[in-house]
Parts: sequence; C-alpha cells; structure tokens
Amino acid sequence: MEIRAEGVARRFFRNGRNTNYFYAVRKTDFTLKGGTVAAVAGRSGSGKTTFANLLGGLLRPTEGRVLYDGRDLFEMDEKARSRFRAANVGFVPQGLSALQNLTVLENVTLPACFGGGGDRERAMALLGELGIADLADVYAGELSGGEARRMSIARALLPVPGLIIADEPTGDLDPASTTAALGLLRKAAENGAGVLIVTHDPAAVGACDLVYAMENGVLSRE
Amino acid sequence: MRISRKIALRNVLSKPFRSVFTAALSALLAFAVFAGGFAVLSLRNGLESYRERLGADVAVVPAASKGHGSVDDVLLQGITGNYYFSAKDVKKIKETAGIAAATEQFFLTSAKAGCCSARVQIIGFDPETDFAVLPWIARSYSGEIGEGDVVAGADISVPGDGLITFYGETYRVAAQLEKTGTGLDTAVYANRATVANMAKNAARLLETAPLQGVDPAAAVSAVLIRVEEGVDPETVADDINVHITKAEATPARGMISGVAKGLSGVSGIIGGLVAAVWVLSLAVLAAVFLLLTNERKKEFAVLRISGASPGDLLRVIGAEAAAVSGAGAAAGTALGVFISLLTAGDLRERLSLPVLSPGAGATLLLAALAVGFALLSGVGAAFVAVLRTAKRETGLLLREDT
Ligand SMILES: Nc1ncnc2c1ncn2[C@@H]1O[C@H](COP(=O)(O)OP(=O)(O)OP(=O)(O)O)[C@@H](O)[C@H]1O
Ligand SMILES: [Mg+2]
Repeated sequence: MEIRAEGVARRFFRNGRNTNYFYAVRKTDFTLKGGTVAAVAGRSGSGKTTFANLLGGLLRPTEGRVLYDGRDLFEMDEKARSRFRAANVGFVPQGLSALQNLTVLENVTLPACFGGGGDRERAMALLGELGIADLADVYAGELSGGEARRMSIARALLPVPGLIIADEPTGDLDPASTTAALGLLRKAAENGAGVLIVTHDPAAVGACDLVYAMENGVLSRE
Repeated sequence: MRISRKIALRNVLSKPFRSVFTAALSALLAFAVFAGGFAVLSLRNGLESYRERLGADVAVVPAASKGHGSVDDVLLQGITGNYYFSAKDVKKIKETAGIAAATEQFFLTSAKAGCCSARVQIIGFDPETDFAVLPWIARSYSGEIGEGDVVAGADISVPGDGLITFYGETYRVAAQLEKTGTGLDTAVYANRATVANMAKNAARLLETAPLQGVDPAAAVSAVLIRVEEGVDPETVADDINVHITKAEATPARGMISGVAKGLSGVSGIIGGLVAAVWVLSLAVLAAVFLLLTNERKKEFAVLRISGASPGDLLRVIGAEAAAVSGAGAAAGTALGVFISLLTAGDLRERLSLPVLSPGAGATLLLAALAVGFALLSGVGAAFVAVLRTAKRETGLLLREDT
C-alpha cells in the first residue's frame, strides 16, 4: 500500500482583506507507505483535519491529486469512491461518531454493510482488545466519550484497510486505553497498513515512525 | 435485514412523536385523496345513472305544481304535489309537433300509517307507451309487470315474503331495481291500473283522499316526451310552455346540464381542497424533514465514513419515510373508506345531487391510489429535503455536525 498526495491543496471561501478565499492546506506533496505509522502535529486551525480528510478521500482537493496505489481517488465517481473507501480506508474522525440507535457491535460492523470487509467475530475481537467487549450490545448513545472513541477505532479497523487515518484518536482516552489503541494501530501497520495519526498527544507522537508538523496549511517533516 | 432498513426502523422507533406526526400528515393526505376521489366518483356515477334513468328528452308537469314538486324534485327526490293534468291538456301536449313518443305517468304518495308498509313515492307508468321506466326495469327484471305487481327501488326494504302493503291491499314485488343514487331509489313502480287501484283504496281509507275527486284511472301527473330525430328538445319544450298554460315543460338536457353544472362545481371545490391539502402537507413534510437534516448530518457523516454512498443515505431516508408515510397513508385511507361509506347517503341530501357510490373494484383502486399517492409524496418530500445534505462532501459534513 502506498498513499501519495501530489500537489494537494484545499481552498475555502472566506472573506479576507484582499481575497475571498484562503488555503486551509497549501500545495503539499506527501507519501505514506504501508508498514509505517506517521504523526501529524500542529496548532489548532493549522489544517490537520483538512489534510486528513483530503488524504482519506472525504474532501475533494481544489488542486492536486490523491493516489492510492496509483489510483486517483477523485477520478472515481462518488459511489465508486465510497465503495473503495469502505474496503481500503479506515477513518477515525476527530469528533465523536456513532449511530446512537444502533448497538456498539452494529456500529462497528457498519463498514461490512457497505462492501468493506470484516465480520462480527473480528468486531468482537477488536472490541475485546480495546477493552469494551462487554459493551457490544449496548446502544451507542449510552457510551462515554472514551468508549465511543474506542468504538470508532474498532470500526475503522474492521475491514483491515490498507490506509488508516485517525484524527486525534487518543484525545479522550486514559493511558491504558491509549496504549491499547496505539498498539492496535501499530499492529495494523505491521500487517501492511499505512497509518496516519493526527495528534497533540506526546504519547501518540512518541509511538510513531515519522512525525510531520502542520503550520498554516504547510506540512513539513520534523 | 438490510442495513438501511434496520437503521430506518430504529430511527422511526426512537422518535415516536416525530414519527406519529409525520404519519399523521400522510394520513391526512391519503384521507383527502380518497374521500375527495370517492365523492367525485360518486357524483359522476350519480349523474350517469340519472342521465340513463331519465330516458326522456322533455318532461312535462302541471304548471300548478311548480314550487310544490318541480320536475327536478320528481326525478331526483321522488316528491310531487297532488296536481294533475286534465285529459284535454294531455291530448294537447301529445299533439305538439316534433314528438316521436309520449307516455303518461301517475304519481301517488303512500301514507305512513298502518295501511301501508312505508311512505314511498309510487310511480304508475303506462305499459303500452312507456319508454322511460320499462327499459330501466328490464335491466334487473325480465318478466311481465302485471296488474298487482310492483317494482321496488333499491332502497325499499322488501319483506322476505316479497309482499308489500299499500292502503290495505298487498302487492307482489316482482323485482327490485338497481341503485340510481337519486330519490327514485325510494320509489315504487307499477303499471297505471295497479296505481289507480291503490288510489281507489286510498280514497276509501283516508279522510282526505290524495286525489280530491280526480278519476285515478285518467289522472296524469307527468308526461315524458321523446322528440323526433333532429328536433331540438328545447323547441318542443318552449312550444308546450307557450301554448299550454297549464303545463310546464323542461328539456332533459337542461336538467342534466343543471345537475352537471352543480356536479362540476362541487367536483372543482373538492379538487381544490385536495390540492390544497396536498400542497400543505407536502410543504409541512418537507419543512419537517428539512429541519431534521441538521440533526442528521452526524448520522450521515458516520455512514459516509463507513463507506456509504449518497445513494445509500437516500435508501435509509427512503426506507424511513416509506415506513412512516406508508403506515399513515394506510390508516388515512382506511379512515377515508369508513367515513365515505358512512356518509354517502348524507352527501346526496346535502348537495341535492344524485350520488351513487362506486363499486368495490373502483373503491379498491381508489384506495390503492390514495395510499400510493400519500406514500410517494412522503418519500418525495423526504428526498427533496435531504438531497443536498446527502450529496455534501463527507469532510464538510463532519465539520457541520454539532
Ligand atoms: N469547510 C470549511 N469552510 C471554511 N473554512 C474551513 C472549513 N474547514 C476548515 N476550515 C478552516 O480551515 C482551517 C483549518 O481547519 P482544520 O479543521 O483543518 O484545523 P485543525 O488543524 O484540524 O485544527 P484542530 O486542531 O483545532 O482540529 C481553519 O481555520 C478552519 O476554520
Ligand atoms: Mg482537527
């Protein structure tokens, strides 16, 4: 697996003094290979989430291309890209993400419903490693912040995707859960996935092979 | 279960108030479509049967009966006063130019008292010359209508033994007519001789005899006319009105067009009401769904992250709207069927228009149409409301959920 960003940038409309747009992410070249865990750190508002979304195929770049093993994600139509993401991209969003009316187990197996891989057994195994197997049949609306976060990590890992992007996955986790989550991400990398973690957490940064810094939309290698 | 259906169902159940409210809107719409359609169909059928039943081009009644029992009253309500033509006038009417056939009718109202089974309008026709009643009777009875036989309108309750009593004498009910949706459904038909016999009995039994000295064998309450090919019934009616002061002639076309006008007026009002309900419920449904999209952004974002396409989101929304609107539509239609059947008779009296309920097949079809229409409207409104949000980039949805 190799994910590559070529001259990728994302512009948003915003009325400024001289222009009516600004760049959340400026022209960026970036490559992440399978087996690697990379961290992106940076101040709030620097463009980390925007970059993660671009890489994960969730946000269309206004310039440049995103290639997954040479396939341009944004050349695909919406449906094809959705199916492709279901199987190949695990995404842990920054905010909490759960369908409140489904149980934890149902939430975790969602990617399988849209053509990604994985099954209940794998879901249970992941929940077990994250220490929330006993919550499998609880409605997601009843979870604490940290429990919900772990649930969304399990969901991202379910289909054994080649690319895993986690936007601040450990922000609301206790040290033990953080260790478990980082351990799972590392294991995924060992099995060939490329992992990108957006984080402020020193523990998370310390666990990564490569560290990038984002500043005003410009990404640089630390 | 497909995931879209599972999510939809859970959403519906987790928000009972919202679900019931949107279902109620669909129910209202389905009810309006069914009840409106049923009323319009009933009026159409009524007009059709009225037109068939009339069978004459011109109807002539005694001028004195005006205001007491007009031609319309006679034909729609079965009401008439005790006014009769003289033999001389009948002869004059029949001599009017352009007449192909003319037949006399004699009306008698039975009393409510013990002497009679029920208070009904009795219409005596002349079997020799009749062209208006017999063809109608022939649709449900092929035998002879001899003396002492009567033919009952659809709404007359005929006892099991098939015998009915008027002024102390029993008569055999030879046949019962199919429904016309007019007042004639409560009338009884017999040939003149039979009705004359009833009138004689009446004169004997009642203190104030209905005929007041007129010879029942010769009395004529109305003359129905069929004009010659190519002759305008209007001309014939005018001719009679001008030359025979004691007669009032009305062309049937005028009566039918009067009824048709009333009908199209009522149909228009019903159509307008249904359209208003439709627009209103669509607007409210769309507004409700639109308000909900904000709440849904998070749900959409989660599904998109998990690999759902915009089409998958629409499937969830579609399943949800279909479940809620479908339940509402079915309930509304059921209520519509119930109320429509219950009030069909009322409608006739309120509107003074012929009303004849459509048959089971047409009713079922209309019900299916009402359910389908309300269902499609509900799903359509839901789609329109969420389409933009469903197509939004996931990266933007993620930011917008709160
Ligand atoms: N859809 C959008 N429309 C307008 N501006 C946007 C949009 N998305 C992001 N931005 C802006 O782009 C900049 C970068 O946002 P982004 O969410 O990528 O920051 P971040 O580095 O993830 O911050 P944080 O650490 O607080 O999560 C911010 O100034 C933000 O306001
Ligand atoms: Mg962020």
